[in-house]
Amino acid sequence: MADKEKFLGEFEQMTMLALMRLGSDAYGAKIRQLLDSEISRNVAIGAIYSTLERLEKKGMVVSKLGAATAERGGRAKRFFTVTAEGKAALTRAKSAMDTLWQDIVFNNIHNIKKLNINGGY
Amino acid sequence: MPADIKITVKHELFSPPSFALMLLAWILSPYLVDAILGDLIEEFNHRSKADSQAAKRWFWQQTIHTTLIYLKKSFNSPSFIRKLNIVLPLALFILAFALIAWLSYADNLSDYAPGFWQTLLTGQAHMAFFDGAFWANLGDYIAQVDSVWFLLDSASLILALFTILLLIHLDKRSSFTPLKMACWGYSLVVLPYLWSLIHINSNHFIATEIGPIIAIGLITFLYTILPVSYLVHRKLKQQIQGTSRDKK
Repeated sequence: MADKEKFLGEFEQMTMLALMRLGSDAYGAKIRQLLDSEISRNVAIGAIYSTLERLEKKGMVVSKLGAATAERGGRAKRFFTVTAEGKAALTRAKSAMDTLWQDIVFNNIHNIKKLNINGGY
Repeated sequence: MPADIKITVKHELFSPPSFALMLLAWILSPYLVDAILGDLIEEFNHRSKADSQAAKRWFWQQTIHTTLIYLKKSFNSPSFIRKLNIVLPLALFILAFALIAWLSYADNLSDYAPGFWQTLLTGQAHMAFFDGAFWANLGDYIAQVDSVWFLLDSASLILALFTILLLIHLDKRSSFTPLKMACWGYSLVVLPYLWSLIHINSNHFIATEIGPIIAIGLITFLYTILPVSYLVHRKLKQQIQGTSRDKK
């Protein structure tokens, strides 16, 4: 695997975390709703599937077709699950971000405090 | 029956826009079409219960965003670029051949297409594609073509050979990417024609002198477009093979 593919983008991480939170009920519409309700990211369904397709090619997630329902116009759901490789990549990404954030958290709080003192500007 | 009417009205209000469904079905890959359309229909049905018009607006927003994402993805995919690199040069080759045949076989062009004749005297042979006279009896002129001698031009042959040899030489460099090959190659394909335009417009030639200059531009284009397309195609293929080897 090329080095570039070992890293996950921000939206890839968000999508994979949504999959893990949804568990066995992780499919496009639910992922979209979760991202909207939990982190206010109102994204197009195409953006989610485009990301999932890419993650599936990288071996980070796997998918399987569910049963077709009348509510969906007779179309089947595609359920996604994060693979062990995907979980490892997510852990790596979190650890990298935690490391990089360590010193920045203090500076940000300092700046926010400074902004509040100056009347919020 | 009133009950039947109610059901019909309700069904119409709760149906997602059919054109949006058709657009998505056309743009999406068979692998994802059912999942994406099903998800959109499912959420549309939930939203319709609160406000059917807002649900339709939401469905269109989702359709447009999804269409743009997948169109962009298709345009950036290596297979699309490879197909475009074959189809477009082939179409341009056919058009260039038809134009050269028309210019060579059409009698009394100054009477037959007077507007275009004046444009041709400024070297703009490509303007024939926007002239009705070119398309009107094109089939008849193509049918008159009985040999390929009218396509032979020694200056064009030398220029075409130079172009191809230069590209083969540049191809030996490891930094010569498919994009560089396409930029260099297609620039060299149009360069003689651009030169002919500038040369004609910056000098005062009589009508009989203009023909051979236009011929160099057009015939060199005809000679080089397909070999350049092949070289770009080969380069793209090498890059794809290299990428899949790296992945393994």
